[in-house]
Amino acid sequence: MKRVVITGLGAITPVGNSVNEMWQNIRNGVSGIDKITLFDTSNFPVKYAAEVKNYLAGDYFKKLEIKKMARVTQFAVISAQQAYNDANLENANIDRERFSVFFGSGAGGGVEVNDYTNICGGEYKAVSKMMIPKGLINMVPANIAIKLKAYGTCIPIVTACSTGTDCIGMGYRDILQGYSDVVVAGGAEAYITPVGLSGFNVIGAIANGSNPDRLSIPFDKERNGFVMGEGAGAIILEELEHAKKRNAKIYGEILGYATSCDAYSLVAPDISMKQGARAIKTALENSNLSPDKIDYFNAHGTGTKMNDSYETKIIKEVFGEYSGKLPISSTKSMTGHLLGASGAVEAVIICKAMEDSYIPPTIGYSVPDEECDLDYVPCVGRSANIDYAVSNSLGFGGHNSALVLSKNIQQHKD
Amino acid sequence: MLFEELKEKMSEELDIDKALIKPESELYADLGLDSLDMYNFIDLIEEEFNISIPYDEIDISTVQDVADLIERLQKRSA
Repeated sequence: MKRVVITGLGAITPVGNSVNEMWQNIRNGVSGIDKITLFDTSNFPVKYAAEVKNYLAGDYFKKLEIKKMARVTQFAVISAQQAYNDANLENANIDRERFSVFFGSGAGGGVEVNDYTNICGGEYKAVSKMMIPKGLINMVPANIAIKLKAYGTCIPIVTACSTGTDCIGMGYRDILQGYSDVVVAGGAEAYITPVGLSGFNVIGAIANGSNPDRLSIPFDKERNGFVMGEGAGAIILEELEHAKKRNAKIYGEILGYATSCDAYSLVAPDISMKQGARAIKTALENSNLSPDKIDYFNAHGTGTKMNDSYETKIIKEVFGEYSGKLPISSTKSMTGHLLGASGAVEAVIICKAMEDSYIPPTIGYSVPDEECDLDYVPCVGRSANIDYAVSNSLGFGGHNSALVLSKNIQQHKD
Repeated sequence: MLFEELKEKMSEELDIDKALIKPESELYADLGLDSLDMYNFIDLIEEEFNISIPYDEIDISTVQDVADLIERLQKRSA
């Protein structure tokens, strides 16, 4: 049985444009939420988001590259390159035909170039020549493959807000099944646009209010939606023996992954919880771990009324009596909701949390909700050994996905 | 003169080794541009040299063709 370890990390996020900068801010409970600067909001109902800060594409790319890459793809390539460098793959003698990319996005880059008013006006020639190359979601992993010379599988998994987790999970399975030795996996998003934000706002998903400290408040009774974030997270997955052979630094092991579909509603979770709970249970079973072995649970925790109470119920269903002792946090309280990138960024956060033995907080929390009555590590993080952690993601479309990560690689599955 | 300026910009923005950029270098065969690069390359030339290239005048296959086209359009607008 093959085993899959993590040998590289990358991130560009609202709380830091590198993994270490991000982690220091997450550790310290720093919020990345601020006034929107990407477009004029004077006549727009949403004023706050979690943007990537101090970002100039020219710091990372040549002008011709920028013309070919949507903002979402730029974030994806930056995070993938960071993870690749962190894993020291450039100098490793890897078989590049067994080097793969599983990297998705919820929305992709289409929002940047699809100016439908041009089409509706009959001026079809006004459609940008970059509409297809920048807009198709598979151009996110395709650009990474070109940059990193990865000739293996190249696939974007697109499952809305569980995209990042599913890309990691499917990359993990690709290695388990023997198709790849090394995978760069992750997710990216750049949807803080009038259309993207409006789309979520008109269905009541976006938090409204004027105090930025009380906008992204997962599990708090006064929560009323999520704050949109942007950025990307990437991890290098590698077959254990392959990593050992080249003396790679190992952050941890993927012990289990499972995904299920509610097959119930496009936007609401199935209140029977059957499939949501099954994804986490199955991932734990894959890992040969009893639920009480989990030291940290990074929740999907978006801050919408429905998500957080539903997720709390799922946790109780899976963890039983132990759920009251399980430290749970939503780092979206700091990063905002990075949609398709969120699961990937949260997997990176878990790797750093395990390395640093520190559980990050759910910041902004102040009003307890009787429906959300577990330990959400409110406001301040805490030092604690983390041997095993779960990352949970839920996506519109009824997607439920969970990963189980382990800090150490010795004691399992031998 | 214009060729040298063009070589500088191509090397910098297209990430091509200066030694490869000669007047007779073919944009596709020698410099490795693809059709998408060509669209964006033309955009870039328009921005960098402050010219507008009419669609039916884009008949370029070598670096020298590009330099000639820029020179012609600059003279026309002068």
